[in-house]
Amino acid sequence: MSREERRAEKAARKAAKAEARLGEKIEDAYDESERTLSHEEACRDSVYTTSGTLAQIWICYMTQMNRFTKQRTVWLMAILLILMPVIYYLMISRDIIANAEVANTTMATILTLLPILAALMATVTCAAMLPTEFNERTVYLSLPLPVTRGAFYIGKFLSGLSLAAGTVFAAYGIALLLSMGGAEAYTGPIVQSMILVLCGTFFFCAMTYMFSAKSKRGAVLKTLLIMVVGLPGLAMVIAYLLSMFDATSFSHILGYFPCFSFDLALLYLGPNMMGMSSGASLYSLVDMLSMMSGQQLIPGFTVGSSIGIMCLVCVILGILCLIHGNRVIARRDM
Amino acid sequence: MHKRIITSLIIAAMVFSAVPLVLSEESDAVEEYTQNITIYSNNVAGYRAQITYPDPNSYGYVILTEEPHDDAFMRYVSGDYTAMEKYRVTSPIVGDTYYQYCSSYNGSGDVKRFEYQHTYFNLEPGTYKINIAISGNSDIDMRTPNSYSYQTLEPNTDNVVNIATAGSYYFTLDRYYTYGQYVPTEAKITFDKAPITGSETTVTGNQINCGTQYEWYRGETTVRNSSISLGGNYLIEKGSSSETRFLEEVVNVGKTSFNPSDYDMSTYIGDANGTYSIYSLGNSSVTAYIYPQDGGVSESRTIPLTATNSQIDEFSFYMGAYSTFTVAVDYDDSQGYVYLSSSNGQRYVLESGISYSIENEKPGTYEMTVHLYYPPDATAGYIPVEVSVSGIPSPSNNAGVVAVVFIILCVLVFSLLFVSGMKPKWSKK
Repeated sequence: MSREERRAEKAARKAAKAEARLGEKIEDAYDESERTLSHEEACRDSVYTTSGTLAQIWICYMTQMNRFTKQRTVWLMAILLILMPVIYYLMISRDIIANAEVANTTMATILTLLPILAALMATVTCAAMLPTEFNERTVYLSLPLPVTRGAFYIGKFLSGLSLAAGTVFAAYGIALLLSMGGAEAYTGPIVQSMILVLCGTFFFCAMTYMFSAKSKRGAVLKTLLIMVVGLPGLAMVIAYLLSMFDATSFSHILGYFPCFSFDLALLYLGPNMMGMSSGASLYSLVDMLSMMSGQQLIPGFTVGSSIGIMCLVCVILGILCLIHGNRVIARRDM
Repeated sequence: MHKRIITSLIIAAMVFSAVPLVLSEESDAVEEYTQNITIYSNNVAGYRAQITYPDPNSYGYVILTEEPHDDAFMRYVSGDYTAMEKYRVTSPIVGDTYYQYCSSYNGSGDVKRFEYQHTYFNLEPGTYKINIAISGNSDIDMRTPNSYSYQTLEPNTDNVVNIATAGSYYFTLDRYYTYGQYVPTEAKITFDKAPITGSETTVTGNQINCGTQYEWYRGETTVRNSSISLGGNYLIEKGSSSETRFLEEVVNVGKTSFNPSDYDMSTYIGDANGTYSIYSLGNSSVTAYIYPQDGGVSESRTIPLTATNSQIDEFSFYMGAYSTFTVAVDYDDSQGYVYLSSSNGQRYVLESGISYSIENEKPGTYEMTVHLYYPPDATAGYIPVEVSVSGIPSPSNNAGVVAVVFIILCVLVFSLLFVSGMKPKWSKK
């Protein structure tokens, strides 16, 4: 008998056995009626896979938002920053408000502190998320789950960004309501200013988040100083050096550093009744000193003039920061 | 490797996004130039007259010489105080003839006038920032060729000067009355003209009375066969035919006082019979003394005057940051000039019949006002101006809607925060 014949005989014996078994009656404790479920009712054709990327991002987003609800710092910051326009409005002289012919002027004055406060909110929400996850070891519980590191990274970022953006929306809305009084309002510049502030907030959050991906502890103050003092100071020092070599035309490029986005946004919003060229920022301080001294301290340097270009720069650089941070997280050893 | 790529991309993104702006953006169109000149105090440096000693018609410093020394004299008035010493006659003899160099001479005869060689600047219409850097704090006079003082400037600071018509100007100063001389001074003048260009156009737009509002008073009184006398700055005439003239020649040009005889009117009418109008610039009532012609009892009558505001149209508008608008005006520029002033401190003089395209860098409110040439101390008045503007934004009616949208977006975000804080369904029992 050849090998194939022996195999065939074996298969035939096996089939005969199985057929004989089928004929046997099996008795068990289950109700027979349960065996009458259809395929749909029994979900026999259902396919269970991991969630899509968007769903993963959403879950990470909501999880981080849940964590935010338990952090008193975030609640305090959000409430304080929302109340800040009201507090500032109450501090401003009534005569100044009454004399404002345009609501945009009052709004720009109420939002004077926006550059600093938006940077503060961005750092509070985004600077400590990742370091906290690693320090508390909760990341080791999340990443083994069917969620990609990218979705984990983006989901948490979006939660911090949305909190910062929500605070900005509140500040603008409250400032506009307080300013409407009897003065005329020009909503075109207001909306343009809001869009630019959102782009600037996106960049601040992205840069802070990128730094936090590499740091062991969430350094809020360090990041805040970099955004409010370091970057503007660096741009102005370079502009000053360029002016010494009569290369002031390149200063226009420096004016589009994303750190100046809030200054441009407040400039577009309206004139400031406190005599400041824009909000409370390093650039505004240098500008005031220039006015007091009667000469430009940094010749040829002003913030960029085009909102479109500034928004584009903020978004592009913000995305690049996110990409870099994502690479750091993706390659980080656990 | 990836770090380098990311860093390179970041730098490239910044440069790439700004290069089109650098290539397309024009340099600041500010006309600025600086010049070093000598500024003198007067038009006249001095006089030389041939006199018979003693001559009573000169005053100020006097130097007597036996022969003319004009070059030395010019050096003397320029600060070289020893230049004339060797030529000075210290003991003149009465009756002898001398050459008298003096700062001012009021006599006749052979008199030579020495004038400083001022530096003239040809300035086109526009708004200038003029900075004159000199040592000391003497004010500086900006003058036209006929020595008319156009504007007084402060030294070592930016002065805003509005030039309405093209012309030549020079500068003089008052300082250092030393040894009877006004010392010429080296100065550095910097002109910075506001970037505004225009082209000729025919203006068709709205007519406004542009200027500063002024208040005047008018009243009436009826007199029968009497003489009436008013005291002070009032005009009285029968009927109201002079009202228009009063408005145009007194109120409109912002006079603070007037002489009734200049208007063929009087404060006294000997044979008054009828209703008379009374005009005043600053008084809300007038006391009239009425003397009946038939010898009856005289009376003093207090006549109330009603205040009326001159017809001024305010013209102001708001411009956002980095915006451009076009404006053209048409007016009689013999009365004065029209200018736009912004809340940011910029001023633009507008010539009649010229269309200007103005680039506005910082947000602010513009207001159109006038500067009247006459009288020099005019405090108020107006010029009828035809105005055509374009590119000015209109106020929005949907500010409330925008504010509500912002608030809703904020509530949306914080509602997500609230929802995320709720327990997940699977943990509920």
